[in-house]
Amino acid sequence: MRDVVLLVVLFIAAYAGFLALALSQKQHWLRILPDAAGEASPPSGQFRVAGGIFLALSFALALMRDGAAFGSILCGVSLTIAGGAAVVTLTANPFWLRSLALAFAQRRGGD
Amino acid sequence: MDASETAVPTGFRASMNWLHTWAGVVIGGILFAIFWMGTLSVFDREIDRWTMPMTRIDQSAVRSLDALVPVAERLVEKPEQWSIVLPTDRVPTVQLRAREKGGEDVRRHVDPASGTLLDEPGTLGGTRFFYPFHYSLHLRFFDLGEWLVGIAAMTMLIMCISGVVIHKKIFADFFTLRIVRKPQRTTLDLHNITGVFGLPFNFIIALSGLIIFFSVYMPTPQMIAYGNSKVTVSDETFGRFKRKAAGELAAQASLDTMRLEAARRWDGEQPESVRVYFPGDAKSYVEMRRPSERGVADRVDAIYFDGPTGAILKTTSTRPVANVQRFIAGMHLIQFRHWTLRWLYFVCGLAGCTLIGTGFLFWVQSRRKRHTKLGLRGVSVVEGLSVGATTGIIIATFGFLIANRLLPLEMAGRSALEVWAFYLIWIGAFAHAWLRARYAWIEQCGAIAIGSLLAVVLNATTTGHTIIHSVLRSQWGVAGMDMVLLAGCAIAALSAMRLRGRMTQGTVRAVPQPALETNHA
Repeated sequence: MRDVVLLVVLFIAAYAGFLALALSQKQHWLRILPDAAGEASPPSGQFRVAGGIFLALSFALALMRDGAAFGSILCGVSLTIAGGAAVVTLTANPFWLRSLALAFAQRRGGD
Repeated sequence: MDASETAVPTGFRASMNWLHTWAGVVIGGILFAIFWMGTLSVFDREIDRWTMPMTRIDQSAVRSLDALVPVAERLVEKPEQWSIVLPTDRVPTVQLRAREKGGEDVRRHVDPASGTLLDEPGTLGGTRFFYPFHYSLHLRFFDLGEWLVGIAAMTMLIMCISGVVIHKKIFADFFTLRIVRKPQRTTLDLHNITGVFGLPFNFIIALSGLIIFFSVYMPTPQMIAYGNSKVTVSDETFGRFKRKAAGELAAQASLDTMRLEAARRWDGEQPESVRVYFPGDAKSYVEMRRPSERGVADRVDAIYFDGPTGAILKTTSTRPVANVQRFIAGMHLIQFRHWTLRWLYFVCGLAGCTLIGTGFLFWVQSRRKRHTKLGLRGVSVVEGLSVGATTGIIIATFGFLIANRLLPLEMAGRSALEVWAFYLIWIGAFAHAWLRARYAWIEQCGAIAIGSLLAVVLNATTTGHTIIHSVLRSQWGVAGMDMVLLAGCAIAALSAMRLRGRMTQGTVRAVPQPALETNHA
């Protein structure tokens, strides 16, 4: 059970990390939130830090699950899969991603 | 192709673009075949279960090795050596192999519960057709296949690096996949994404593949270090034991006793394989190998016992430098026990196939209009090559599986006929690609859909093992194979319908070459 939970969480972390890195780029931010075109560029710094943290977390969880040898390989291949999943998500532009980005933009606007 | 395309451009990025393009066109066909067969080889033992229904038995342990001795010795008249590979969760049978002096290996499967020989499988299956195809292309003449695979692997490394160099906006395009009416855009984006995200996997796989065959590609250091010495590199690095037969008869000591001793020395781990050299001879010896499935490194740790007395002659373990090579090899060979990684490798392998296929497609799409206008034949030649090398080999693979289910088990030369079916269908796919150029992609995607569905249906009708039946009997390899075949059927059918829809709407157009190549570079 522990292994299953760690595997799911490390994938989600890698996936979230790549999505965060993608949203730090203007073209993807504007694609998800076209109404934000009139504003300043996306919060790239925050998204990139978040993306880095999520990816590092994914790596740490892989090592925790399977040790240095298997964990490194697991991290490497799971990044490939998670990256692909992030690209497909961005292309599909689902409602939940727009809602999440909008919530973040509104929160940022309120700060 | 015209002169402007073949002239080597100046400038580093432009020359890398030229290298990437033409290396891909020339080697891409072989590279796809290697990647496709390698992807299948991830589940070679599960393919064996599918193609050898008699081996779909329940798992059980081997109670006595000594009980297998008379079975092994009956396989050939005067065996020079025979070996047993003990059952695992992926292979529930005992794999028996015996060899006469100067003769070919005889291989059979044994039911570990009853100790009886199972029917001859009559097929090479995954481990003896798809897997050797991957690393040798079944071209044994002067190691020609291994050299071609090595050249392809080296080319893959070059293309990984040149691909990064020529991708001008690699970070800006990192997550970009545009599904647009112009298929060239989508094709290029898909190629870039599978290339960038798959870069660590593809690079490591290609490099580790070269390192596995270091003794083939770089024999000179060994020749300098060992010259004409009888001690070979593998003997020293893996610590193997050898001695000649005495030519005198002697009784064999108990293998079960040796097995117990090996388990005692290996913290309770049972040997994964047992090999008896010169059985019945006064100088016979027994090699018992320790399993290496718990680690990444494909280690070769063994204990050698004296055949007549059971005394230990030598214990060996992989030496430190060799361990590095075995770790790198292990990353490629994936003989370890890690189901998550095994499935992830499979998906990454398919992504690698997509990378190569989209590379071909982009080359053809971006040149079709211009070549047609200039009356050049380059695109039609490469397009036929692309179709045959990609969808063609997939169709041939399903042809192999279908032949496996249709050919009677008792037919002489059955395994050879399956291989003939594979190659004839593959040649036919190339011919179809050149003769029906306009419809080749659509019709071959359709053939893949039909072939994969037919394979599942034939498995159910010829063996009685539907997916549900396999799941209920915990035959996960067979069930998984059927499910993957059905998924492949769905993807191929959707692709064929989508391509047909585009053709009907007339939306397939070549983008003028210079603009798109600038974007790619």
